Amino acid sequence: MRYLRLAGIFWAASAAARMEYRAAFAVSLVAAVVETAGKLFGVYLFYSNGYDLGGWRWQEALLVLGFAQLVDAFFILLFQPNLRRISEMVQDGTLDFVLLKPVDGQFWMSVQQVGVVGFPYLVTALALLLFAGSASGLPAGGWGLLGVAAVAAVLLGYAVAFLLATTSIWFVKIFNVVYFLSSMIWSAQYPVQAYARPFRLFMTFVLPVYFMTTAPAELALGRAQASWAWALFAVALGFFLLSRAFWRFALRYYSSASS
Amino acid sequence: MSALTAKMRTLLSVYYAYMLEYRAEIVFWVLGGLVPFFFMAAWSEAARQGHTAYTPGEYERYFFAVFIARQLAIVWANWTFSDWVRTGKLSFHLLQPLDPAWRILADHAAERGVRLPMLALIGLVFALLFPGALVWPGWAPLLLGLAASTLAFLLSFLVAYSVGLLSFWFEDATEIFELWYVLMLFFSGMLAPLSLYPEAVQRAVYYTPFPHLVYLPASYWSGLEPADPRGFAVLGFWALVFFAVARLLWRAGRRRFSAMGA
Amino acid sequence: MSVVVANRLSKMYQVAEKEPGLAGTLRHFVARRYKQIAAVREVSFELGEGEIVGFLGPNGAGKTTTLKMLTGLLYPTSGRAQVLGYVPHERRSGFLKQITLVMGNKAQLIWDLPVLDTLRVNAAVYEIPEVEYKKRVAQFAEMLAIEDILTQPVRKLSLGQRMKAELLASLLHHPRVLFLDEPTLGLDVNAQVAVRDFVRSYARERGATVLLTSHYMADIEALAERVILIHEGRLLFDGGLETLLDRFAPYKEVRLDLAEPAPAGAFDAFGEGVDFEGRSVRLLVTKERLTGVVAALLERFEVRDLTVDEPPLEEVIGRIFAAGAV
Repeated sequence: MRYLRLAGIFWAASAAARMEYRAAFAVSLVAAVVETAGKLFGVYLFYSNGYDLGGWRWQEALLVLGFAQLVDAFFILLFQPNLRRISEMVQDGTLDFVLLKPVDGQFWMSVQQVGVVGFPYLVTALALLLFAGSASGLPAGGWGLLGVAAVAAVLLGYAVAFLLATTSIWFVKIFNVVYFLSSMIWSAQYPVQAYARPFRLFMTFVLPVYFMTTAPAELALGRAQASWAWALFAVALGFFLLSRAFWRFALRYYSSASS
Repeated sequence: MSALTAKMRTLLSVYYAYMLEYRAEIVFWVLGGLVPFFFMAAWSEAARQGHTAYTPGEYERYFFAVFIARQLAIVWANWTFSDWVRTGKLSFHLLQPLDPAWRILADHAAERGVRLPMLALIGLVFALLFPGALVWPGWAPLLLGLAASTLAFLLSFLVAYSVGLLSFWFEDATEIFELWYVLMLFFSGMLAPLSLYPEAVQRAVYYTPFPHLVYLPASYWSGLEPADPRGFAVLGFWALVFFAVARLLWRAGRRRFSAMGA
Repeated sequence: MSVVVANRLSKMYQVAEKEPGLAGTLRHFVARRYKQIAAVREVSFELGEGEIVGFLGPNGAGKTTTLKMLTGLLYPTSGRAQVLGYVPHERRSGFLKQITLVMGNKAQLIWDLPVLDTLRVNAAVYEIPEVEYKKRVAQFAEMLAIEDILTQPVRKLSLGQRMKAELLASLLHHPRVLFLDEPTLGLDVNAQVAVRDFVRSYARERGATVLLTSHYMADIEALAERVILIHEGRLLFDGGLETLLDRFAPYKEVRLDLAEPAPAGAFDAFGEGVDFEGRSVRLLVTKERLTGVVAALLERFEVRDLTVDEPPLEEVIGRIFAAGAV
């Protein structure tokens, strides 16, 4: 509960700071709409050229797109602003202050700030999911699975991002790590079956973006019989635990290396 | 003029050293730019199933060219400038007898020096993974493509710099560049070769800079479709427009900065 | 002819007001209220060639704003600024090449690169020939005793080293007018002395004019013969340091060393600002009363030692600002 309250305080303060920038917010609103329209246009291009993205109806493909947008929205909303701070705080030494606080360090580093400009993306992502879900005729059970899978997908996105951001304890200047991940999710906006086989394997086993976009859609649609989709939950939990362990390991290094 | 060249030469060498310090950042930045290859993977799979006008090899060549064209046109002048305004560094640059635009231009040019070897490496890996995908385009298309891509870079730079100058008025104006970026994403031929876009869309965006920024150099290099040299005129026109915009904003912004302070 | 002229310089700012809390944030988001603040009001002064002048005032008094108007970073809301015959905010190349502004709380050095790289950039920007550039770097680095750190990345330097390097970079083009805004901020005593000595010998050698703000009175005492005081944007005083003390500090500081502890409050009748610690006592006594008070003290207490001195400058200035009037 203390943690929830802390997060609330952080977000209110950080939102207040960001709301100063009205122009930025207005622009991000427009950008989110344009970007969503553009992504839909991308899907349209494939179907209008007669390609069904590896055996998906267009409504179902939009569900995948919706999950990609959802994870991306959380990147902009939470992961990007916070994980960049790790790099900055290592650089200017203020990480020490965080470590002195009687609060879980990883939690602190993950919720300090909120990128208000991510809200429009979140809204469009949810709208997309709702539309694609009902257009695909999801049954009640499907909606339930969709919700649970969405949580797991976001958790997985967070864990992978945090894992990579933690490496800034060693390589100070890697603000772009988060940008890299966000662009990888961009490339996973179509069902993995749409891609050539080596890419499919890469997106499943190297960068687990398959689990963030295609797998949740497969679960919700009940297409998961012959696929890896159910592994989503194990993968998400596994990466989350790994990110915690790695953070602790990095801190040990940090506190023994700094003077 | 020669005084300016001397200044630029020093700035270039110093910023090159600076960018080398940031090589790990640039690696991730380059990796983040690999997105076109995923579109390539989807389109070549579509081609393999016999759905589209081009062969998988043609897609591979095209998207590689798109990747390079995008890499060469990357700019962040908006970010640098607004950072200067926010941190007050701009004061130092204003106190020096050199227009700050030159500094930021040198910063970009020097970064290309660090990025190019990485691009060469990626090109090598690509050639190994997709044997036969890369073919020599010939000298003329290569140089014309380079000219187009330089012009595209200049235009992007001027737009980004103009957006950066808006920081004189709005505390966080850099987001506006996001709009430009998104439009470029969708209408520059990264999703698919522009020739696959609906006719109406192609016509609607023809006189905007977007379809030429990436597609023009990529067409020269990949030879997927005959390149449209009128793209040079469109790019040149917009570059002039944004040059004028940047000058105007600079003049007005400086007056405003002196009125409001850092 | 005056090198620096400020003629009824004024600067107004518009600031947005915001109430705390979420409601305040939202209201602020929709409709903003602004209020005008005068940072500098009708300040006039002139500096002659080669003068070193201390510019004093509490935080927010308008010192930095004035410096920014004189360097052309800000243009005045009203009034006139002139430096070396130029109008600063026109930012002519001839003007920029002859001035410098050092800000103790901001850095121009490129953070991730060795100091020498920033110096090279500055040499190019100010068009200093190679030979001359090397000569100047060598000379300044020796004066500042930082020869061996020039090849280290700036982020590895201590605050003192960084400030010295900052000074080197700022003076490389041999400016004739130096505006120094808190150049010794946060430095330890040794570094403060080094910076001070450097500024003094540079100014003497090149006949440069210096306008210097500092929180450390030692800087002012060591460098400036003349001081300008501003408070809440208004000029309070402009004149010699001695005159300032005479006019505003008609006090002497009396220190006593007693043979036996005295009861608290025993000295309140004799003077102001009593500092009482066991057997040592310190008080401020107006000059007119000085003789009488000393005689009375010697009579009333058993005194081992008694000294009479000028009060420290900090205290004097502090009193002036606390009183807020001249």
